[in-house]
Amino acid sequence: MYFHIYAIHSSYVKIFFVMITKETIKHLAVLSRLEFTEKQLDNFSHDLENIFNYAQMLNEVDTTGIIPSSHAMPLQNVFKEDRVIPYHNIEKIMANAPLEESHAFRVPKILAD
Amino acid sequence: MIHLNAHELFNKIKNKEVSALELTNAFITHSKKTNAVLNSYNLITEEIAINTANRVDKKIATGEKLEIFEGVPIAIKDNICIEDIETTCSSKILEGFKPPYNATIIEKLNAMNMPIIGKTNMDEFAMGSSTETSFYGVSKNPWDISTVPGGSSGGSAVAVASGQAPLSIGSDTGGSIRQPASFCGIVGVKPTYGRISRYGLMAFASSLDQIGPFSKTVEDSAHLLNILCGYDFRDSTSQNVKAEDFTRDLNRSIKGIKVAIPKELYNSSLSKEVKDYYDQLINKLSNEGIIFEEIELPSLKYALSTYYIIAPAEASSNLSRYDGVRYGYRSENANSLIEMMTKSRSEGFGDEVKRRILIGNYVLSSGYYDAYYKKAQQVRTLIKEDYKKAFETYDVILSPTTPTPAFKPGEKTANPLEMYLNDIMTIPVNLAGLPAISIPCGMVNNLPMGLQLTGNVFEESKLLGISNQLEKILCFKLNNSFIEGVL
Amino acid sequence: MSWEVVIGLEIHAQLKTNSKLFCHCSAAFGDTPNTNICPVCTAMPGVLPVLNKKVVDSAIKLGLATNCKINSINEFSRKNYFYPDSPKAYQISQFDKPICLAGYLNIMVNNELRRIDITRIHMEEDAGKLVHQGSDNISGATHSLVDLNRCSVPLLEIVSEPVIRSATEARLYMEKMRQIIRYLDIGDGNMEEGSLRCDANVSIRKRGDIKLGTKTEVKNLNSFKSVEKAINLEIDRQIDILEDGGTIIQETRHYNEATASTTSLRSKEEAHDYRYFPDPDLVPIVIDELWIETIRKELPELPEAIQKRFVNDYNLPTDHSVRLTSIKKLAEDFENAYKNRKNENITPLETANVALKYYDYFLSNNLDFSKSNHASFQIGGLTFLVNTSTVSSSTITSILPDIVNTNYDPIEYVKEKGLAQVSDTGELKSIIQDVIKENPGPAEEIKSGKMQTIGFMMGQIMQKTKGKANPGLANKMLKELLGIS
Ligand SMILES: [Zn+2]
Repeated sequence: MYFHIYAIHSSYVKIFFVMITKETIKHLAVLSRLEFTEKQLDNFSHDLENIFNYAQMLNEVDTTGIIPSSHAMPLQNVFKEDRVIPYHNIEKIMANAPLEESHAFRVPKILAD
Repeated sequence: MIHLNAHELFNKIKNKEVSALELTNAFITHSKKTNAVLNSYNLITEEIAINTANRVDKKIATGEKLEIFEGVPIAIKDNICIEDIETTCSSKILEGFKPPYNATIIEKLNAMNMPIIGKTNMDEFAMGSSTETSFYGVSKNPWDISTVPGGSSGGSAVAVASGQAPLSIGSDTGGSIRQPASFCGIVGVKPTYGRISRYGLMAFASSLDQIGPFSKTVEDSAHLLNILCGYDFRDSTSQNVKAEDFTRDLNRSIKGIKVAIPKELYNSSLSKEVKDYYDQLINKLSNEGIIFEEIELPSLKYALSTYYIIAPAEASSNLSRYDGVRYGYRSENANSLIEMMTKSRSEGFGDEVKRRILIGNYVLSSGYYDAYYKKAQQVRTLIKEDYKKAFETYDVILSPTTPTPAFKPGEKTANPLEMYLNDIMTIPVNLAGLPAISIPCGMVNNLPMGLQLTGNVFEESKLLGISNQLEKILCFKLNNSFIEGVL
Repeated sequence: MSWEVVIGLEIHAQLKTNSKLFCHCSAAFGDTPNTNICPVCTAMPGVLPVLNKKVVDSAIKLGLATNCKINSINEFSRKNYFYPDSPKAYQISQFDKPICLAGYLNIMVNNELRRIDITRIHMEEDAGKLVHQGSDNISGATHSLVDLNRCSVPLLEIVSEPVIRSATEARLYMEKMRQIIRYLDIGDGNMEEGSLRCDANVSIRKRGDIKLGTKTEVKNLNSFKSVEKAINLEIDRQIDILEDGGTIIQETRHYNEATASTTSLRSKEEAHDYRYFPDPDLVPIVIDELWIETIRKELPELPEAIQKRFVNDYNLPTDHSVRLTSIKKLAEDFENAYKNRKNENITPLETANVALKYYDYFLSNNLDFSKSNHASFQIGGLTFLVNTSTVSSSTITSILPDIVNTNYDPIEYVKEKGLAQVSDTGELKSIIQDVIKENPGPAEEIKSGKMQTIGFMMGQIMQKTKGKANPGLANKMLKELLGIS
């Protein structure tokens, strides 16, 4: 539902032309809690299209069996002990609240979505 | 005095030629005076700087011995949390945010009594290569104020290059320290991922972000790294390696070292002017007994694509916490929760940030994850392996830091991809977690250019040693009279 | 039409740790909003998570106790969604590499053994709490308040296969899971306080069909009773729809305990694209054999094993051993009381009967048995009193209120209060003779064969002895004295 793929070339490497529609951007906007004007929708769909078409070069790379890297450096088993260390500057956290009520962060009414 | 390097200034304090307070005041005065033109600071933190300077002077008065860089002022990129000091990432969405805690490196700098002069301007959330995406406007390159200083740590680079501070701190996700260092003719270091705690660094792309120093000399950066580096239990990705003295190899001879030049970075994509310049430079260095060899790192060709999938993916998630609920900007024009969040984010973020959030959410969406995000992570593995192989043979890898010298504002904003291509030299290093440095090497079109040296993981000492020797050979001098003339 | 019910449960168990999953805040239940918070769990910019090791240990424990495979390579992922109770706007959870896989639990349903398969168990953080203002429910509220005390408290999510066949089975499985969590001492397992929660995926299909029917997810099940009730309601609702020729819509339904009904919670499709990806701020957890074996050695004996042992070693009836092992402390108190018995001829069954009576007293009076530090000692003393016929078993019930939650020795207590039964035949004989003398009519009735009147005479004897007459002995002597034995 995001975009249409048109195969424009497929010898041994799959190269697709990625099309990012305004509908795609609208959908991503909802996921991102962002809203856009028509002009922005146009611009962003154009920008993303360029970027993803550039990134199509990744399809040239054979990554069969390659383990994905989520980290720059290998590390494992980093833990903290189960110990309570009370934080003493809670008021500094609360002081940043745009709207505070009864020592809680106040938010507008939640409409069922 | 403001044009001296950090080491020289520290000696002046130590020898009581100048008090820490006098020194700090001199930098504050110069910063205030020049900021109107350069727009390098979001905030000048005079009060905390003076308090720290006073502590140093008290120490001197009681005859206590000073440790290196006590009393030497420093400027901090505005994405590093300082308790009670507004920290904004140059974004409207963090307007008025005062962190309730200090970043680990701020604790270290405070413990070392280094006066913090101010928070420096940057691209919004470190997304950009010119400071043009800052909510507070672009910073100016002191070499030519009609050009950008680079980014995203542009303000920090300008501060050191223009004598506003002898040292500064930046963060580097895809070149955000090295590229502005290159544009501004100073030294900038991105250490091995995990060397410096990220605790308190407002995240852009967690697996790529790394804090690092700017300075006028390699030696100053080595000393500052001694202060900044070290294991931090608050950062799970912090490397628990033995502390070392990064100045230990500064005077080691570089005769016979093997330097690799990857074809993928050093090729026809550079303008003839730039290519000719570096060809000539490499010739000059070959005469000093350095062995240069051109090599292939085939996966580097894919680094930019890989980066522009991984970094936005992580960013889209990291920036979701800016929702108007607990801190920062909240839109007044909302009648419901979802509207409040949507409007706060839409009004609070600039276009470049929104663009990256969209890219990130796209590549993580169900159905596209494998084709984009997972694929990029696999290519990232290949990039790491290519580097690993190269370091079996070579001491360091060399390339220009940037494909061009500083450009003009607006020159690349029309086409985001073109802006991203500016980072092509620096990005692969972040994907592999390697340490790299940019040192100034000369001028092209009357603007400074940098030389990027990349080392193997944890080999900062070697990297700094080689850089220090090259610095001596290259004899690059900041043209202070030129800078003062501009102001 | 014969329908088959298919139920899968997703259980959330809050873990009993000192600190939260990724920061050093207390994980304790706090009633003043935002008092157990810090920059990390409120998602201040720049903070980073560090994993609480005890949570991993607890997950391994539960995995081993439920016959799961422990994954050697573990990873945390981010589950991205916006909601004010989730300050990072992502929940740190496990996605495709959960810590435990492919386990099962056995439960007894109508004296039949049923195996409930467990798909996975994974670690994740809890959300904060929203308090809606201006109305009891979210839709009528004028605004809401965000309290992050509970945010990032550690949870284990336990997902069963869709193999549960009835609401009762679901409740029994849930109860069994709670029992194990409590035996392992990794969680409180308290549904009413929310430390144990459950969502049920319910569908029905024609008996014999292989394909699963469309499922609905029933939420807000806050007690074992609700689990059973809500699932039954949902089964009935689905059957009604299908029998009327309708179709089931895949949706989430909210159970309302007060009205005993479920209502649909419709949500937009996009809300379900969570964009999971490995959290770059956390590193993989590699669990080797040594770690697993260390935990295995720490595991307590589990209820099923204890039950078997009680039946085999002590010859207890299955029903007794099941009840004794319902909680670990009772099983331990029983066993200690028996091992330290004061008379060699005290039997396990005698001890078990007293222990169950003792425990029932706590249950029926809503007292906290876990805080009863002298239970084993008192059960032992009470068993001795019964064994020696010093008191009747009904006397035990009447003295429990005075001794539980004290350190009284029941033997001393009975002595002090003069509650010992009159078993002295000389003393009892003269009392019975007095009663016969005072009640000549009833005495004659008994002699002439009207045995029901014995009850009346026994009542008189008890009245005279203030209930302390050994009833068996008194009955025997009464008959002898009336010449009818
Ligand atoms: Zn916390």
